[in-house]
Amino acid sequence: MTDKKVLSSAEAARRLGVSLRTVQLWVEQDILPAWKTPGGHRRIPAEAVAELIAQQNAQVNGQTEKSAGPLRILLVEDEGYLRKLYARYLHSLPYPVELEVAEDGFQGLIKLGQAKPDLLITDLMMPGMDGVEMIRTIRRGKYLDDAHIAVVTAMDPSATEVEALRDSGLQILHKPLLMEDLKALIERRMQQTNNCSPAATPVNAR
Amino acid sequence: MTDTRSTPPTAELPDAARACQALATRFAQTAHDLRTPLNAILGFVQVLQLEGSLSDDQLDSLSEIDRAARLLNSRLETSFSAMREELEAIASLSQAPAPQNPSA
Repeated sequence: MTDKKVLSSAEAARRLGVSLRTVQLWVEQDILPAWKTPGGHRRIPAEAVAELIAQQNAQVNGQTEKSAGPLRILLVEDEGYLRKLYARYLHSLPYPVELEVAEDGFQGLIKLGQAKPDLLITDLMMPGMDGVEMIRTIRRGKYLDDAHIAVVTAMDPSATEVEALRDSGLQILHKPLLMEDLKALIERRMQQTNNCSPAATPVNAR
Repeated sequence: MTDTRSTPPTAELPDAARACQALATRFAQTAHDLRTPLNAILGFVQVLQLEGSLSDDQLDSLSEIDRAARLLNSRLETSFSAMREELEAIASLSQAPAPQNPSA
């Protein structure tokens, strides 16, 4: 039974763990090769199904262990020792992270223009241009989506500026920041960027 | 008591409200400035704990630093919220008889 060379759509669906409709879609999208019998039934090479299963497994493992490319993070923080802390922690993580740093909002905007990060982590209270002003500028110019921004602040959670940002839907973390929280933030972002990648479409098409 | 400014009685309330506001601002700044270095202490302890090469004694010392820093953090937050409540109470006292004050 298992060494059949060609499969019907239903058999392929069962092996792949997807619905019959999904198999039909994949055939239409050339994700799976297939031909029709004179009676009009679809036949799919067993080898192609096995290959797709292997691809899916590789993708699932890739999502939990390491992503396709490094996650690009831009950190805006005025305290040198905190920049050093984040850098050291981020580089100890088991997945590739590319870190760019800025010391205030103005520098943050310049670096943001040079390369769009997957995640912008910013302090609020900074000399020169503060985080609130930087975020306002980013939103006005639509330089980065809110979902890519996380605020880490030592200000009171009840401070007017912090409340306004939280109410507008921005992610806010409070200092002292636990490193696990920073890790969770990065992993969430990583999952989101992976789910958006075109390579993941066959899995999501279920 | 040591304040030697002679303020006319009518100006007393707005002055008190202003002083209260200034105190609240300074307090918020102080809280911020105390949390920031504490973040570094707690964070670097966590980074060191991830190192595989530390001896048991070193790890034990680290966990004591961590415990003390967390205790300091919770004591700070307790006193911050007590101070915030007191400031709010004073603010409402100084604002109550002056309804022309803009509501914050």
